[in-house]
Amino acid sequence: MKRSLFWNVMFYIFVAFVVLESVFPFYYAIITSLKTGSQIFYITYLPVIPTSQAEFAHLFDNYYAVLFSGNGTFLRNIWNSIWVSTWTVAVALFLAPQQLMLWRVSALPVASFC
Amino acid sequence: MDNSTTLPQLAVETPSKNELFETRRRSAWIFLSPMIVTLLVVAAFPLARSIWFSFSDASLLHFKEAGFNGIKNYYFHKTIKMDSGAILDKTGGVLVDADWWNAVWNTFRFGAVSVALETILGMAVALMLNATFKGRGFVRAAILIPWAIPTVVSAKMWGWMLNDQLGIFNDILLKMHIISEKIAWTADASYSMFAIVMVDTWKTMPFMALLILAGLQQIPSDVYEAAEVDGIHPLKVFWKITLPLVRPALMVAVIFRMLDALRIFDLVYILTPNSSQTKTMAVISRENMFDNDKLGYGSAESTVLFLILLITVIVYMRFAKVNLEGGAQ
Repeated sequence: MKRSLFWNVMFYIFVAFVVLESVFPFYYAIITSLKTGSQIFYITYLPVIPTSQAEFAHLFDNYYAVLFSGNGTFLRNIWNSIWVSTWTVAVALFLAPQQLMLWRVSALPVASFC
Repeated sequence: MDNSTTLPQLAVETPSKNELFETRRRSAWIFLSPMIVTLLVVAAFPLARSIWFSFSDASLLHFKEAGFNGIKNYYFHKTIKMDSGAILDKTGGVLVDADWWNAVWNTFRFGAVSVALETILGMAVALMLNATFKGRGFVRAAILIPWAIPTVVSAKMWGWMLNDQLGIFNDILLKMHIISEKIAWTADASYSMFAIVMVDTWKTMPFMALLILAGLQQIPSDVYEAAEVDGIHPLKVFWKITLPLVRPALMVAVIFRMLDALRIFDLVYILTPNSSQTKTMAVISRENMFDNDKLGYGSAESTVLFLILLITVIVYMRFAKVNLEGGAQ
């Protein structure tokens, strides 16, 4: 359908707003993850650009800490997620067709909730 | 609900002493048995156990030897004679618990507002995604981000953004002159429900949009072409064509969302754990079971929660004539 220029502009403003509100919290989490020390107490809308070599060296400190230092359980957590999701999908793929059959053969409407 | 038209496709033969029929019937049961066993183990057993606990005096340490307690967890009334001769009336139980009914009220308030918002916004976004424009694939992917992030993570993210002193949300609103002073969104009792609804809407609107979009794409394009030839106003096209045709898919989406909203737990538990303004049925039930060590009482609450959900679904299905078997028709 053809739209007038006004509605076209409104449409794209709506598109932009929806994309912005969807992505912004995720974006903000990323730029916060790159902050170190007291930088966390300053609200910034853009990523904090490292100005010196020393700052640049600490850019990924949080990621390094999560992955390799501390009690180092995060790699294990990732593996747990992979393990659980693999088995969930496998079992669900095995059971889902049967659930569908149960729905089909059951005359009682209440069986739809199973 | 009228099921008679969409019923059994599996065993359509009229029951006869036909040997073939018997064999097929037996093999159907054999094929179905893993699912039935799984349902019994993972659905029926926990539900039955929870209902049993609700009639017992179970606590966390003594749930194996829990004894039958009658309906005391639901309602009891006793008169205690004091030594002074005064008579004390005491009533208790879930059904007269003001905290519990406050939680029920919170849950339904939350459910009604968030599902309504998600449906309207989801419909708007679905209509947008159904139109053809440049970069549609990118927009579709971007919109799915909130839905792909685990609720626990997004609750923490939003908790930080809604922080009263250091949060960016206050900063944006201050810069836009919408608010004049910083607001403690999650801690202030008058704003905490707003915060919960907002984060939930942010998180679940993409899901609604996708379900509605699936319904929109099933509408044949020739009805729109006919409307365009006739020069019908777009708003009228929406009310008279799009809405009635997308209604079956919309109704299924709303009931899924409603069930999900009424058992909300994680978002409230992380964002506003102790606010009586946002405490929902699932949150208060868990609190009684594990924090207060009243497993029986908490189970009574979750049993009532289950009944409330069941009644909601039945009323909704009657009211909206949803057909879960056939989907959109």
